[in-house]
Amino acid sequence: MVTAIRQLRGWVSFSLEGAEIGRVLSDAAHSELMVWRVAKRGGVVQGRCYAREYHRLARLARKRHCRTRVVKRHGAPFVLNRYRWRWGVVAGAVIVVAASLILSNFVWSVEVNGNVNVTTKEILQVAKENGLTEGALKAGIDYNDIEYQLKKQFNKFAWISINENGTHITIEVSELNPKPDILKFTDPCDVVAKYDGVIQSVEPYRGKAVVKPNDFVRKGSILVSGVVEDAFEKTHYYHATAEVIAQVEHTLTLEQPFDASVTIKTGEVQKRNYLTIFGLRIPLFIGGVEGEYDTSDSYSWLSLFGKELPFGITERTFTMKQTDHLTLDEAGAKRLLTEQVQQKEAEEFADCKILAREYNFTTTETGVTLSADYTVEQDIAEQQQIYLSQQPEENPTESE
Amino acid sequence: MGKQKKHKHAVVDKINRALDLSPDLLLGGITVEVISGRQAVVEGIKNILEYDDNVVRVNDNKTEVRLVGTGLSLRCMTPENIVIDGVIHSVEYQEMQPDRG
Repeated sequence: MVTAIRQLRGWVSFSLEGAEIGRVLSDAAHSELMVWRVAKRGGVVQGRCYAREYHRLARLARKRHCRTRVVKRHGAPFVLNRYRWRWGVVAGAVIVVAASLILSNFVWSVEVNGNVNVTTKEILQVAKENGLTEGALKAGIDYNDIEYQLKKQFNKFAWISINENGTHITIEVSELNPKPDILKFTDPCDVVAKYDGVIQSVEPYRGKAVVKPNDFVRKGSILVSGVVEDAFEKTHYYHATAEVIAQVEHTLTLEQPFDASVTIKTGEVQKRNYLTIFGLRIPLFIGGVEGEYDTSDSYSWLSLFGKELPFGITERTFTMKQTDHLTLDEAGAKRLLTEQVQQKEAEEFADCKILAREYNFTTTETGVTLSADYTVEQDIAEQQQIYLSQQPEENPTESE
Repeated sequence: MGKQKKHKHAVVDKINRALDLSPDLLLGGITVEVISGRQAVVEGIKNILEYDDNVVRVNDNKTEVRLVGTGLSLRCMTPENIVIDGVIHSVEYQEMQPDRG
């Protein structure tokens, strides 16, 4: 501590020569001059004192017919004096301090924690639309409003909290557990038809079947009832379940104009870098990308002590594509339609057995329409809850 | 020393011994504390008469103290106290003669 104070004030090493050195030291002590480390070195008495007090010491020495001389100067005043013309250092220090003070009023980074099904990108997009983004002025951000907007927009959050930690903003969310789409095992329900069709087989696991094979059923009609009356005319309510296979007809319709535009990727990929500062993107290249393309961005942020800073490099990837204008003939249009319908068929009827298919092409002036008729066998059972005014009795096990 | 002063000294001495007090309490004067023969704290001085790396002489109104050693340096000083570093061989007390002139 004493050393630090001496360095701040500045001190000098001096030499003292003469006959009455002791008297000089005594006078210095009586004049309350701080002198320390007085020792004889190389036949000469040397000591130390504060720089500002040296002149008084020299005067006292002269009175006693002694000579003093400064040997070396130490401390901050001498260092600062050496660099007094380097005003750039001072200016730089002032700029850094001012910049730190000013920049600390802005948002440097935004982080999202706790989200599972809702993506970070979606949350940040909504936050950005409401004023919370890198580079935004902290004073102008209404966190309560943003929390409200996020809840309103997604309707999936149990709670949202936005925390400000210096220049780093954290959006903490907790998602609601979604209500499952199934009926509770104790809820009474019927099994109804998903589509119109002709019943092929009925296998009720619980409840009473009200249709039999070869019956034609309409969409929504009851196939297996959850309401059963016993021999004593007492009504029981079941959670009906069944597998009901029926023959169902479906139609897929597709259109293909003769003048078609087909966009395909050329395989060429170009990359361009941007310097991103507080959300502002500065291109690090000359000239743009010509042609049609899809873009995707990847970000590399600078980080300090594990925290991301709002400075970094954005790499934009341009995937080039090309649109060809084709004029198809009838055969070509039909061929295209056939490919498309086969693709769609594999998606739509993945869990069905296709019994028959028929393609009907209709040609007009502008193009070709395909109407594909299918006869498939599929499970058309669907549960539908029975709503009662009173709580039903719980009925345990078997179907009748 | 005058008769009156001698008498005063004798009385003070007696009181000191009777009450078992430290001498400097009533008599005052220079106090020298030597620590491990390497450092001496000298209190109650008025002047530094001589400084050299082998001898340091100090005094107050009545007494002169002479510290003899090697490599003596004055670590720090105040108007009444000094701290001396170095190898201290001996400490000599000498009562100063009053000036009759």
